[in-house]
Amino acid sequence: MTAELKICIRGLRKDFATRFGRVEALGSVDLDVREGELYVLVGPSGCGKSTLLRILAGLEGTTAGTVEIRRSGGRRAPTAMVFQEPSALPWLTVRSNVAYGLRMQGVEAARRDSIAARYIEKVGLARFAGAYPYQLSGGMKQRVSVARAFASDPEILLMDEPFGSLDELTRLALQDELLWLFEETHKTIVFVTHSIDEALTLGDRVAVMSPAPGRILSTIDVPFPRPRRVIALREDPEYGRHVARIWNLLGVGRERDAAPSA
Amino acid sequence: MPRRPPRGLPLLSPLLILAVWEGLARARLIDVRFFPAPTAILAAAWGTAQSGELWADLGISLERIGVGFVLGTLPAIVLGVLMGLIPLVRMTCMPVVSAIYPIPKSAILPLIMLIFGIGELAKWVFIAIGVFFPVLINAMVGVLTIDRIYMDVGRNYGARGLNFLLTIALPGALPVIFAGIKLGFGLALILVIIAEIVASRAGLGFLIWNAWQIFDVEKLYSGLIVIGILGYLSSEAIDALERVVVPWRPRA
Ligand SMILES: Nc1ncnc2c1ncn2[C@@H]1O[C@H](COP(=O)(O)OP(=O)(O)OP(=O)(O)O)[C@@H](O)[C@H]1O
Ligand SMILES: [Mg+2]
Repeated sequence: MTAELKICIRGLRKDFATRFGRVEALGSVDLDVREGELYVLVGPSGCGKSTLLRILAGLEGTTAGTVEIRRSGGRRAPTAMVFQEPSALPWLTVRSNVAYGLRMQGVEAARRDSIAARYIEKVGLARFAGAYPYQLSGGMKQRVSVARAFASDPEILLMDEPFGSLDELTRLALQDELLWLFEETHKTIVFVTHSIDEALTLGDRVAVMSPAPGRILSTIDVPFPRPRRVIALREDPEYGRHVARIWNLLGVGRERDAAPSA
Repeated sequence: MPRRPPRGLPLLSPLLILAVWEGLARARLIDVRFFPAPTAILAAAWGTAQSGELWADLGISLERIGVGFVLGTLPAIVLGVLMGLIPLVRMTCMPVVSAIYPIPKSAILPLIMLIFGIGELAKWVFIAIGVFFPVLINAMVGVLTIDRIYMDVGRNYGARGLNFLLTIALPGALPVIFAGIKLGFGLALILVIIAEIVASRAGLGFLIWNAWQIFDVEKLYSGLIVIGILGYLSSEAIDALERVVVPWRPRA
């Protein structure tokens, strides 16, 4: 399996100048993302995951290193981001929010409406197409952001803990929706999460990052065949082994093991 | 659950005051040369309305407010949004704005009449300048206080230039701009009266000034009442406009 490379990052470093001095957010990141894969980044809070995605989205500059995105040409947007914070534009209805990316690409109204309607349907918001974000629950707003990113049909989808703030039930439902969408469209997706379960459920590969300044410690291939279903997956005996492996990489429990016995 | 107060409640206190006033005036307990009975004022207002004088003055004042308001608001929104978006524009314009803004607008009326004469144009410019500053500053602050996440959404989804202005900056700032428009409208009302007292033979300002000169106290009061009603109705109209233009804000 040697699919073409979509993203190629070498020696990427990112410092922030703050009032408290220089903050090193990313310390020499190397990573490759293949065309059409779902690449998951896990790592402790503050290790620079959001920063990495923001750099890929063109919202942040770099301090050192190279970031290469292989464009396929045409007028498709290079990236579309599902932000970690709620980001549905308050002044647009659900329908206009989902169509926003297409509108900015100059897609004509009739076409973008029909595309938007399809993704609104997929995330289960058809009844709320005319509603404004303030009329939606937190989970529904997050689904608007997911639909907007998919509808805008970018070359790369960037998803920054899109389900992080949701309750377990909604999260599982949205993971399932994401699996459907991904297995149908096979877009290149870079997905950030805190949750090892989520990483193994969704990812083709899982990259584990070190604490700040973030580096890639190791990249794990996730062997589960597609199409996957969220719950069935957890019954696979391989599943537990992979969870333990990522845990070890993240260093969970290491301090306790190292502590002197009383 | 707290009981809803009955609907007519806000009318109660003004009606009570009017009733007491009427009683005191009829009993000659207050000087009716200064505080004529409300019924006498109403009769005088009815007279000016019937003769058409009131409507003519009201129409003239409304036109001046309307023209001056539009003339001041539109450029203020455009420049204010640009100042919010582009640091260079902000840093260039801000010193000038800070220098001119604190000057009481009534103080510049003589200068405006010197430049634009005493015709309608001077009044439009006078009102426009008054409205311009609160709207300008609110538009700028409105853009500057837009949540960064929405700016990021615009940039990430490819909004550039005019697209960014129309889909992110302007709608994001609109609630604050409306607060500026309300301030500006209140100011326009004050300024039109000042201009008409100083340099006009028509309009509501002239009506009350003229009433003072001929010591027609009832007419003076009816002018004040009309100005009060005008202020109330126009603030209701702006609120209604806001509900149409800013439909995404949750309302009580
Ligand atoms: N605009 C900024 N200015 C200054 N420092 C920043 C900025 N953005 C991020 N940082 C710093 O960079 C580091 C990484 O932040 P980042 O948001 O990328 O972490 P993260 O891995 O996404 O964390 P979390 O999982 O909690 O979302 C942090 O130390 C943070 O303080
Ligand atoms: Mg983050």
